[in-house]
Amino acid sequence: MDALFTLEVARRYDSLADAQARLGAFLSGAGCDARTMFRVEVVVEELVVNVIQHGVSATIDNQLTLCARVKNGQVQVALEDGGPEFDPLQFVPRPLPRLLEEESAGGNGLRLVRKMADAFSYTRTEAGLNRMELEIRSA
Amino acid sequence: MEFSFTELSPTLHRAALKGRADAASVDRMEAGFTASIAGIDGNVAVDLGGVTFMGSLGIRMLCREARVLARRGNKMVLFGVQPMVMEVFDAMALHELIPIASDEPEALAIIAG
Repeated sequence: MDALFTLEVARRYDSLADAQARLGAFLSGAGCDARTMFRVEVVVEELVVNVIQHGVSATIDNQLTLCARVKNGQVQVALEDGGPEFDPLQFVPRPLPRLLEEESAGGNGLRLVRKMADAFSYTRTEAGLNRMELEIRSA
Repeated sequence: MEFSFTELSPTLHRAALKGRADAASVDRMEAGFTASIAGIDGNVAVDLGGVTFMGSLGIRMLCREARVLARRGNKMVLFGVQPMVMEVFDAMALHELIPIASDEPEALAIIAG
């Protein structure tokens, strides 16, 4: 089954929470297993939080577009935002800290995305949007 | 997400978190959680059995509070982590920073040890 989901998400945490609930209902209805749904949830959470925290511009609108497709057990997620150009694939996370004192914010979200997604790509669209596409495959 | 604290002894508290530790929840509750930790003079065993989701912001909150406790010579130990949340913790190697026990007795043994 090829199921599609599209949602505009405002760049606010409460809007993200609502989007996650709607996305979860969609994935469940499309027959996704719990572990795949959880991994999709983590990926979407971290990417949208990144945009909310860092994709700040006075000239852009406040919406992100979240799309998801379920096909042959795979979940394909696409996220577009109009923030400053940022290619997360070029971001190299710091080494994982070994001491609590070394732990700091920054980079952990993308680290999780790389771990949870089976495939990940980025493009800057002709319309000037950051577009991230990810694939999460069922176990 | 909700949280509660129970004093087990003058030097030991249990914190129980319940619900989704997503960005919206952490944003709402972290000030209160931080204030609660600040008022504790002792170790804290954190029951995560009721947490169904946690992302990097929730992990950051735990690490920050564990650091506060450590600076006072006290420990934080996590326990009861659900399997899928543990997958997130493993991806972050969180066990290198905060001990993670399977259950409360093990958590208390780690604190006592």
